[in-house]
Formats: sequence, structure tokens, C-alpha cells
Amino acid sequence: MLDYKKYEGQTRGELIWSRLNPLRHTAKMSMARAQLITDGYKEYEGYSLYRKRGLSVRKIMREIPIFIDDDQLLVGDFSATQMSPEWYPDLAASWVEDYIDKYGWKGSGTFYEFTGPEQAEQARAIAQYWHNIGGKEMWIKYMGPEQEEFEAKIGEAGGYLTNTVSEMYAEKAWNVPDCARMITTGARGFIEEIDNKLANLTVLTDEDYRAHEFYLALRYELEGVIDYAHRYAALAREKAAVERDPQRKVELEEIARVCDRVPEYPAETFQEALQSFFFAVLMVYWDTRTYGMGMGRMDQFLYPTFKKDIERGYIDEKYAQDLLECFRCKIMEKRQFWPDVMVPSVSAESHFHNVVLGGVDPKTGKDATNRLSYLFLDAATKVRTPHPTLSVRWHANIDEKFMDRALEVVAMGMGFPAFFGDDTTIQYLLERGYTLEEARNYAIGGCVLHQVPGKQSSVWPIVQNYGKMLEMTLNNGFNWYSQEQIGPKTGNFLEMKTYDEFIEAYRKQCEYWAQIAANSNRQCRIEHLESFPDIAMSCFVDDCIDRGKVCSLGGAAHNDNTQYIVPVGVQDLGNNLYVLKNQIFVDNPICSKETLLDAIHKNWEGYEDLQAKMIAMPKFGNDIPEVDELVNWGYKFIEDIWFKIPSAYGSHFEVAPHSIGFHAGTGAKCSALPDGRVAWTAMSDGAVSPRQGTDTNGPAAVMCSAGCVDQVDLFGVLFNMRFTPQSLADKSGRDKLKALIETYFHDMGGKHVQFNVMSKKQMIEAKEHPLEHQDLIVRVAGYSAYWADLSTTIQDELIARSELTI
Amino acid sequence: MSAPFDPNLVGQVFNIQRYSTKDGPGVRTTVFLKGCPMHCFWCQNPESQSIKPVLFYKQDSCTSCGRCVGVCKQEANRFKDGHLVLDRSLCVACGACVEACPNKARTLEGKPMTVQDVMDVVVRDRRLYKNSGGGMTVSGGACEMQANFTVNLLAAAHDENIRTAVEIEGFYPWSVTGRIVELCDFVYFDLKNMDSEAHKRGTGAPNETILENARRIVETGTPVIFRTPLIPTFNDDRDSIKAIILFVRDELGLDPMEHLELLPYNNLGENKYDKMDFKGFHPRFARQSDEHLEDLETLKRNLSLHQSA
Repeated sequence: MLDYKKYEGQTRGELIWSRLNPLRHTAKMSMARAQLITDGYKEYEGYSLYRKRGLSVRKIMREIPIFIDDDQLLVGDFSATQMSPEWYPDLAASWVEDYIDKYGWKGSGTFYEFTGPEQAEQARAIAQYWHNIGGKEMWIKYMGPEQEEFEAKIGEAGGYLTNTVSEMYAEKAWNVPDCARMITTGARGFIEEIDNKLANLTVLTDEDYRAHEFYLALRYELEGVIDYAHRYAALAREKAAVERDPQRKVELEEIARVCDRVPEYPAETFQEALQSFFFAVLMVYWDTRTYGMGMGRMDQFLYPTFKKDIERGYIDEKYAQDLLECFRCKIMEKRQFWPDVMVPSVSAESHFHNVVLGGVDPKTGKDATNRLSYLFLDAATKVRTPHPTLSVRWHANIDEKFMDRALEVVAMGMGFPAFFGDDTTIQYLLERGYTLEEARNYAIGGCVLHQVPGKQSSVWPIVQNYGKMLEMTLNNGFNWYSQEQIGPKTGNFLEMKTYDEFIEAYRKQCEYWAQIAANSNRQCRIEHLESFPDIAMSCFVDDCIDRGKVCSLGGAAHNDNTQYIVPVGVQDLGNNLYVLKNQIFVDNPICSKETLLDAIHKNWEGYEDLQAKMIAMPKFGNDIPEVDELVNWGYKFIEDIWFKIPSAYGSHFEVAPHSIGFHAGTGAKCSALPDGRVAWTAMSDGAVSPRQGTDTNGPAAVMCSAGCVDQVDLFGVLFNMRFTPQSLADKSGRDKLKALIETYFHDMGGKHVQFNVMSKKQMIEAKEHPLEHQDLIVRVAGYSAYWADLSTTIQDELIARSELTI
Repeated sequence: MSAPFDPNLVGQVFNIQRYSTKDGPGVRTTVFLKGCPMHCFWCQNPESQSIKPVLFYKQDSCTSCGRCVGVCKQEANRFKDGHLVLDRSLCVACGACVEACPNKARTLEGKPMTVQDVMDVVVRDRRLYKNSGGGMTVSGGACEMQANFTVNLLAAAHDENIRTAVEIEGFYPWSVTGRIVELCDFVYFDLKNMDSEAHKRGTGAPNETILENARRIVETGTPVIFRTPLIPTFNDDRDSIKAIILFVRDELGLDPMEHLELLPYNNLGENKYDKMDFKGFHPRFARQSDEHLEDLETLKRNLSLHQSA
């Protein structure tokens, strides 16, 4: 049995996290990666882009400063400085210069600061190097000045009419590359595979040429990750030599042994497997950042080595849990350097690294829950961090005790695990041509995107606010926020005779903006050929190596659901259509169209009575079929529009309603709407959660409304529910929640549900005293975040969300 | 198989609460019927006592905007010193002001519904009942006061294969109570006090019929749980509770640990009294201390049938 340090009073993970946690607020920028990639590009200038990147990423892994944290069992770092964000100027560079110009080296106050004026100047120099060759910068050049101006105008004025103007545009994100292949194949195995390919490759066409360069690039990166591991082995050995604590010495020696072996060769022990997987993640990270990258079914792919180690007595379960706690701490060390514009919507700590537990065995269809599934939950109850998020795949034969345990963790109020329904999700994947075995093996990318590990490329979504579309239609393409005509004239609302006529206008408005957004999306995706190809990720996605193509440029076996649109405010759309259909376009309207339009333009000022009547109209989330069906209709309508639009590589766009944090950001630029909505406030969150504060019939009714939406063809359907802590404090309360989950998934075809367990009082208190509530974790549309890190808009929105009591 | 019922029969309902988790096994929909022959001084649902609709008026939310004045045919809403006042003696609870109020300061508690109307709501959660072992619970008020409606509702639920429970007071003779119990899969039955005099003081009614009904229910074999709301000054002392425990154990032959629930006092109904200008006596007690509750629970445990020697 491997000897290891035992801890009293707190666990290993708790101890590590107690040291890291304070750094969340004090850590400053790191320029290590940005400098190394810049140096690499200069050093390897003249090589093709792919090879230049491969060599530069290898350079990063060979040269970036490394360290080994006390008590940690895993090595590999997301930054040269603990808890600091690294910057990717190769993705987008100019905004950092703007950021420095605007805020100086101390930053905006709510965001990272530089270590000092020298580092800010270093950043400026880096930004200047990338001024013409950063990914975003090249895309803008590709668009040309006219489109750039137009896109900027939409971004500023429309507020996510479409979010094509994003500083992080088309990042390599949201998918689930099968990094676990590193465990079984080893980097050497991949290198051999590549060498075979190269041996049989004769370069005849430009495609062959690209394949050749891709192979070499990936080979460099694989060499890089082997070297990276060996550096940690050497460091661990150095530390072991001077370590006084005999047990820690053993741990350090084991780390050294593990890193000598993996990821170079296939893993044989549990620790090797986890470490090898983590190195694979880091290889992708140093290349393209891994934003929203799913970790896959960790309890499944780690189980064989776990089982073997336990059976032969090499480790015990306690040590295994220590390792999982260490993994949680490691993931929390990853920090994002978000562009300033993104702060209101997305917390700087949101990595969306989803760990999937449970589900079914791909071959047999039987329940796949195992001991590790439990240990992942247990580790999360000790290291109570929002990341990595845990998700449980529910199916009819799931281990009941595991569900009980999962709900106990929910009751602790960390916002996870989230639950996913296998039935409808597997139907979706089968419909899209996956084999049964593949479909049964799905995991989660981002917060709710169900994907088959190693089959799909990275993506970047388009966000559109369908409430805003309504505003544009009511105003004949005139944008009320910026007071200018930016959309097509789809008809004067006052002259419309019928509801159908209005819907036709709405369709035209939506189609116009869909085409604009889709065009942008295709452009930046293809343009990445020249700036930001996902080389490392392609190692873990079929059939990249076979085809000699990176995964986002034709390499991925399934390109179908990798381009997607995030529709926001579809619940609001349903509520508004109800009013228009039943109260405006009728014989005895509640008010004239002129009055309605004037009331909306004046944000209900002077029209309070009318607003009260509109607010009292049926709202989605109360199990009222007439309005619920309109939300369902809304999703079908959006599918109709988007399924017809081609995406890059000849596929189509999928519709993925999960709002992320954009319901707040998009709502901030959307005017008042006929359902009584007040201008510039958040849209409904998630996909099928009721508008904040409008559900009054309790959780069963909310669920029926959510279940009214046909979810099969939707790509992840986010559903938030909140309960008070008391309601889940005992098993009887949790059993009822279990029945609710079963009913939603099994009987109603739901895909996802997650629970916020907090009292309203707690939240108001937490808003007033954020510093005293820094350990609070809340759910915001699909990811957990620390309460104190959220913007006040999102805090208010969460408080407003109806409290459902059991 | 199931008993015949009239879907068009009308009853007075003041609330249908979905996802009820404390009114029987599993997830339930609880149908609250109006009307109660007793007048417990601690009543949590004062709006349920009258069979007629009751207007709730929440003065805190009222901005004296005056929109209710014009719509009231009884002229029950008036201004006095610039503030709106509601004259309860004129109000017939027609509900016109409820719709006119922009501040949601008014609600109407109670409305006529047919058996079918109620069932339309109840069946919505059919699948939740199935997955949780739940069903429909009829509560009150005292549902016996609308016995015919209750019986029809229970039969209608059985017709839909939905399991049923009732919360009853047991104040009516067995000829009424028995008809209801016959259609129930589960019964909650209140035991408030063993001393008939005290019972009458606290609730307005003696307890002989109630105790007789308790015996009859047990004879039918229908699963039953007796519940005692713990009311300070009325029944939360050791002697009163001991008498109830012994009644359950010795006279009914049931284990109090399984068949008797002691419910701590709560103030949840308090603001309702203000909202309906309720004239009856309503005490403002504090909830029993944890020590006191534990003491009573221990008493119950010690008197359990399965108390080991």
C-alpha cells in the first residue's frame, strides 16, 4: 500500500483550497504564456502557421515556470503564477491595449490588475506584436471595414441582437474532446500513429500540405507535453530529496515516478490515469485554452485503474478521494482573463468544466454508477468549490442510493450536481446519426451541451435575444435602445390586421438577423485556418488524425451540432405572443395598438394600469397550456429558421437554449414589451425556467410548463429551479425531488434540471454583505459561481426568481 | 369498479395546492374546501371557516389609488382622511375589486368549482403521483361540511386511478364521516384534546363524536394517522398529550410512534387574520421550544407499544 499523509480536522483538499481561496481576490495577471507564444512566433517565423504554433506550444511547455504545491498529489499548472490568469494574444490582442489605456496597470477594480507598470508595458508590447496577426484582428481584416462597422453598430446598439462581435469570438470551446485517450494510448502511441501517417503521406495538394503541417505540429505538442511532465518529475525528485516529512517524501517520489511514465506511456495506476488525463487537458489548454471543455465521464474512464489499484491493495479509497480533491483544487487554479466587456455576464471563474457521473454503459445499456461516482460527490462535499461542476446522468435504472447521495449534495446548496435525462438526449443523438453505443456514451460540454466525447469539434455560439427581435418587429426594424433604424422594415405594427401578419413580420425580422449572425459565424470559423487552429484538441477527436485535419476545420467526425445558436428570452416571447394573440389582435382588444406601442415606448410611464393588466395575463411556468404552447411554438419557430441555414463545413446550426449569463446582458438593451416587461431588465433565464417571479403555482406546475416544450431537437435545454434549504433538509423532502426529476425526465422528456438551494433572505443578506458570504455558491444559468463574484444585475435577478418551497 | 360520481356537482374551494409534501405519502395535490363547523381559536385558515367566499385585503400593499372604489357596486370602498377603507358590513365578496387592484392587495378566498374543474387540476400531476406514491388530498376547513362534494371528488379521483387521502375533523356522525372514509386510501384525523370540556372551550365543539369516529375509522382498517396540533394554553402540556397518546395506544390499539404526529405550533396563518379583519380571538403564541417538543416526543416514545423493557 502506498504510504501518504493523513490529515486531521480537515481533508487534504480542504487544506489546499484554504490556501488557494484567498488568492482568488489578490492574484494578478501572468504574462508568461503571452510572452512565450510571442517569442515562439518570432523564433519560428517562416514556418507554416500550424508548425509555428506546434513549435511555440512546445516551447511554452518546455519553458514556462513550474511549481509543485504543498500537499498536492497532482502536478501541472494553468498558470506560471498560482491562481493567475494567462492571456492568449493569439486569440485576441488589441483589447488588452485598450484595457490598459482605459484603466492603467491597476485594472478596472472589479477585474485583474497587472503586477505593476512594467508588466502592463510588457502586455502592451505583446499586444502591439499581435496587432495585425491576432485571431480577432485577422478576422476583422477579413470582414472588411464596412462589415466591421456594421457589426460594431449592432454590438453597441442591439445588445446581442447577435453577439457576433465578441472579444472572445470563436474560441475553441464547449466540446468534449476525449482527453481520456491519453490514458490508454499515451503520447508515444499518438506519435507513432502520426509517424505512420507521415510515412504514407505524399504531398500532392494543398490539403496534403496542411495535413503534413498539422501532423508535425501535433507531434511537437505531444513531445512538449512529455517534456512538460518530465520537468515536473525532476522537480518532484528535487523536492523529495530535501523533504523531511517521510510520508510527503513518498508522495513526491510517487509524483516523480508517475510523471516519468505518463503521459508518455499508457497509465497503469489510478494516479497515473488521472495525471495523464490532466496533462492531456493541459496540452490542449496551452494551445487553445479549453474554455467550456467537458471533462467527460470521469467515473467511467478512471474506473478500470481505480478498481485494479483497490483490488491489489496499492491504494485505498481515502487516497483516491484525496486525488479527486486535489483535482478539484487544480481546476480552480484555472482563471480566465476575460475582456472587460464580458464581465457583467460571465464570472471570471466560469470554466464550465463539466464532470459527468452515472449514466448507462454504452455497450449494455445497464446502469454505469460505480464507487468512483460516489467518491466524486464526496470530494465535492469537502472541496466546496463551484468547479468543476458535477452532472449526474439520470435514467430509469439508476442506482437509487447514488441518487439519494446526489440529492444530499444538492441539499448542501452548492448548486450541483445538475441532472441530465438520458432518454431524450439519446434520442437526439440517434436522430443525428450517432450509433447507439456512441449515443449512450454522451457527456456534457459547457453547461448543458450533450455531446459524444471525441466526436465533435470545438465551437462558439451565436447569442440572439428573441425578445429583442420582438421589439424590433413592433418598431418596424427601428432599434429603440439606440434610436436608429438598423433592421429591415418588416411592416408597420399599427397597420397589421391579424396575428398571423405580425408573425410573418417577426419571422422576416428573425430571419434577417439569423443570416447576419450566421454569416459572421462562418467567416470567423473558416478564417481560423489562418490564425487559431485547434491542433492539440484534434489529438482527441475522431477523425482528425485519419483525415489530417484539425477538428474545427473538417476533422471532426460529426460536425452537426458544433455550430449553434443560443436563443435568449423565448419564454418572454411566449408571454408576449399570448398578449398579442389574445388581447391585441382580437375583436375587443385590451387597448389599441397605438396605446400599446406608446406605453412600451414610454416604458409604461403613465400606463401603469395597462401594465398591471398585462402583468396579470397568463405567464409561462404556471402550467397554463395556452401560453406554454406558445413557448413551445417559439422553439419550433427558431428551429425552423436555423435548421435551414448552412454552417461552415456544410452542416447546420443547432438550437441550444441555455442563456449562459446572457439573459442579463441581452435584457439590458431590450425595451419594454407587451407582457408588462420593464425596459432594460434581465430576460428570463435558462431555456424553460419561468420569467423571474411570475410562477405562482409551485414546482409541479413549473415542471409541467417546462415539459410542455418538445425538447428532443434542442441541443441542451437549461432548467433552473430553486428550493429553500429547509425543503430538502430531510430525506422525505429529497425523495419528492427525486420523483420530480424522474417525472420530468422520464414522463415529460426533459433534458436537464438543476437546483438552487437558498433562502431569499440569505440572498438579500448576501447581496448586502458580499464579504461575509464569500463561500456562497449559486447557480446562474448552468454554472456555479461565487455569489460575491456576480454582478449586481445577476444578484438582483437571482433574488427575484421565485422561491419554490416543498 | 369505482363509485359513481357527478362531475358537475359544485363545491366551494379556496385553494388547490400542487406539490404538497406534508399531506400524506408522496407528492400530492391538496384541495382545500371551505366551511368548518368548529372555531378553533388558533385556526390557521380563518378564511376557510365560512362556506362563502372571503375577501382578503392586504393594507400594506394598498396605495389608496382608488381604482376599487368605482368598480364596487356595494360602495364598500371609500376614502377616509385620504386613505382607502373597506367597509366589511357592505362587502359581499363579489371579487370586482380584486381584478381592479393594480397592487395585488386583494384576493378572493373561495370560489365555486365543479368536481370536474378540480379534477382538471388534479390530473395534471398524475405522473408525479405515480413516481412518488402520491395522490390527491382533500382538506379544509372541514371537508365533511361539504360531504357530498367530497365524496364525489374522491370517487372522481379513483375513477382516474389517483389515490386519495382526506384530512378530517371527525365532528360529523359516522353516517357522514363513514361515507368519506370509505373512499379514502389514507386518512389524517385530528385529535385535539381528550377532555371534552376543554375541547369545547378551544374549538367550540365537544369531542365525543370525534372519538367515536376515531374508533370507527380504525375498525374499517383504512390507514390512518392521528395528528395533534400543539397549542399553548390548550393541549401542549404533558398530561393532555399523555391522554391522547394513551387513547391511541390503549383504546385504538395503535402504536403512537407510527400513528400519532405531534405538530409544533406555528404562526403561518397570522397575517390572514389582519387581511380579513377577522374578529375572532387569535392568540400570538411563540412556537414551543425544542426542549419542550423533545420532551413530548420522548413521552410518546416511552409509551410506544414497541417500547423495549
